[in-house]
Amino acid sequence: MKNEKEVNENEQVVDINQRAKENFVSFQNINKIYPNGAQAVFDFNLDVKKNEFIVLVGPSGCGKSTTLRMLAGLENITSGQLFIDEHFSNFTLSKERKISMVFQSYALYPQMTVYDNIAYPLKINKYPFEEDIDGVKKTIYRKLTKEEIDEKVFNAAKILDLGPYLDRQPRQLSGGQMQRVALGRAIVKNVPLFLMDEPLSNLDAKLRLSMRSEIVKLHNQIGATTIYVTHDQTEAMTMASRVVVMSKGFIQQIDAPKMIYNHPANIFVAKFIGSPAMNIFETDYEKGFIHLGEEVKIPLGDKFVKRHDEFYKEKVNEFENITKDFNLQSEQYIKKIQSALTTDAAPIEKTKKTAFFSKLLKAFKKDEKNKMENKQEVLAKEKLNLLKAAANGKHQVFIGIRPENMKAIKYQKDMDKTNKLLTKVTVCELLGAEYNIHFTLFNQDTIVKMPASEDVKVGDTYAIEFDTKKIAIFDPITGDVI
Amino acid sequence: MKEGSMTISRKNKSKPIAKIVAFIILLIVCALWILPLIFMVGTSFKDEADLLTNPTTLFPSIDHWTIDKYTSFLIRDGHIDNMPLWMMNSFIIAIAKVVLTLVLDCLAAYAFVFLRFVGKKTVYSFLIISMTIPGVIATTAMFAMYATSAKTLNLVDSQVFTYIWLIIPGLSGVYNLLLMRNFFNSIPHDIVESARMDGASNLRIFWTNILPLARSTILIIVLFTFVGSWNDLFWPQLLLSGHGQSWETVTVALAGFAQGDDLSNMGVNMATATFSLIPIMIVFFVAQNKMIEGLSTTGMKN
Repeated sequence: MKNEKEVNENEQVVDINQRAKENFVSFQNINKIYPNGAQAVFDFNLDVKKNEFIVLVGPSGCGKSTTLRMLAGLENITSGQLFIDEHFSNFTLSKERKISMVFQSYALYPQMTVYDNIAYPLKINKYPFEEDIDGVKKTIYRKLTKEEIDEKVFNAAKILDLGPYLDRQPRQLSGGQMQRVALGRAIVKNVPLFLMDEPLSNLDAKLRLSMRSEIVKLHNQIGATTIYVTHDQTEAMTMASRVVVMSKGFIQQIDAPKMIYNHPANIFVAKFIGSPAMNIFETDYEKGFIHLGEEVKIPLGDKFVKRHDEFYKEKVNEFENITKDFNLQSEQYIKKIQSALTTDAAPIEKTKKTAFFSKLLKAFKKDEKNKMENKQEVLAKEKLNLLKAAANGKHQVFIGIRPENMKAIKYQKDMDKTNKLLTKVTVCELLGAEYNIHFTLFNQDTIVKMPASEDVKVGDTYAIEFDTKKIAIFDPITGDVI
Repeated sequence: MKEGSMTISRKNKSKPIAKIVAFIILLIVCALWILPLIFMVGTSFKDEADLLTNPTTLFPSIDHWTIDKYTSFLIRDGHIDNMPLWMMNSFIIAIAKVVLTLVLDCLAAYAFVFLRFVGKKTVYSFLIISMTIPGVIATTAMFAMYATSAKTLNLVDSQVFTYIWLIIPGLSGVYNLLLMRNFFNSIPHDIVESARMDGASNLRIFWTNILPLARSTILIIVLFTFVGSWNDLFWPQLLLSGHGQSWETVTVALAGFAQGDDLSNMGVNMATATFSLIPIMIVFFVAQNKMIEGLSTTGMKN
């Protein structure tokens, strides 16, 4: 009997694959489907090396917090594999994962003093100690003594400047101090992995700025691995060593902040990252040229034409494969493309009530249900036709350009107007060192950055020039960068 | 400053009639509630003569005050009478009910709010539905169960067995559970999740993190359960009739007193009734103060 059981257990053990061995944390094809059928995370793949500072960023409802909670063990993983420190951890209890987490609401225990809050994890856990007993080294698990706890708590308090507040209660502290207590409770645990779930969003703007650098400093000081969730792209840009941009449960791009900013993988990332946001225009592409209105014609060069043709060839191929055999995977592929194309933050989570009623409705209208399922397939076919048409001949593209890559020159009558767009200032925002000037170009608000030394007034006419080398061109059908 | 005081005075002047009407209505309601109480306390101090001549006055006439009625039921023929015993019986039942209700309801509410288990929603909806069924309906069935079990186990004469039957059915009240669950729901789940990640077991989280926050709700439950149990008449009367005076609770014994309409008996009736109110008053005043204190100190920033 015993042997049989052992064999069964061995079968369940998941192979520690190469990715899991090379990385500290490895998410492999992680999916999360809530009991009501709403899927929050689709096929999440991410490898985190030791000492990295990973930021998951995206609009609310994009699945970033769910991902973090799955890593913390507060949420079940529907499918996929999670490895932490070369251990298969899908079913490990959260207290055994060697993780500490900082919550948005700080999650301080209101009835305990700051000292007790920080000491809480130290008081309740047993820690291993190597002790010499008659010359034999043995690991003994025991609770910490009062002195040992004191030392660790005071140490953490020193790092976080909490010394004077140790015997206060949380409600007597300011938001920033409460956040530091929460950080203190995380660092005394002395674990290699830190999770932070929007830790700064309850703080006021100035405090957020200073805590931002403090957290990065702390991260470097302790040498831990941090995974940080936020909806604020500025936090992502400033803190991360790598940023994961998410939308509607799909990863849109994983890269260093600089790369994300300069080379967004698709239109969603382009719109989401950067403040002020990237200016996006609908334009026409024809044979190596982009036509911006009637006045401006941007030449893109032979290299781009080649890339463009290859891109569409590849996409047509992909879509042909999808439509040939339309299965669940292809449905997900279409959903992913949709997630990049729409920026509205529609929450994924349905409330149970609506889920129940829609199920009821579906049961009554069986035809409707079939139609619903086919919706994605119809979309895929439509897109295939569009892509085929785009592959040869004139078609629509989106061009994106950052506000700092546009140049506005005050209009003079005798100036050279080739490749320049004339428009008037609608709003001008002074940020101190620079202006954010709003213009209306092609019926949409466009922002250009300008040094504050210029004298700008609302209603002035300016000629706008594009830095053609720094234009990002997106395919409107799939949202990907060409 | 001047403007502020002006607006205040204007406000006061604006609806004086409404205020007076409200005051009068409140006064009438208060009087309706408190007059029987005053009459009861007053009458309990009247002597025999005054009871006969002035049975309708609220307080005894001068020179007719007496505490004989109190001493007479406490000490009769030189030894302590049954009143302390009845109070003790009531007290034991009430305390047992309070303790068991607290243990059951707090643990159940914790499970409903913070734990994930199969059938949580179903169980919860059954509990809610059970609230709509009046307790009286179950009484017949419960009494039949008590009678048969007592007979088959040959425990008809066991006071402990009867008292267990007095205590246990009262624990099934869902109202307290609901109260506790609602309070637990107002506690940020982050606190529990954080403690869980710190390595605390559910029992420890319940004991060190959640219960200290629930002090005010616990006191409300203590108050309601204690008063409810102390005042309970119907079920105890059903179980205790025919078992002799020594088993009776205060309410059951008082109901016996009130049955005779002999005027001279009234003094004793009122005295026993007043006497039986004392523990409830104590519990109420203690719990009320602590309740307000608890409410003001558990304020959580969220």
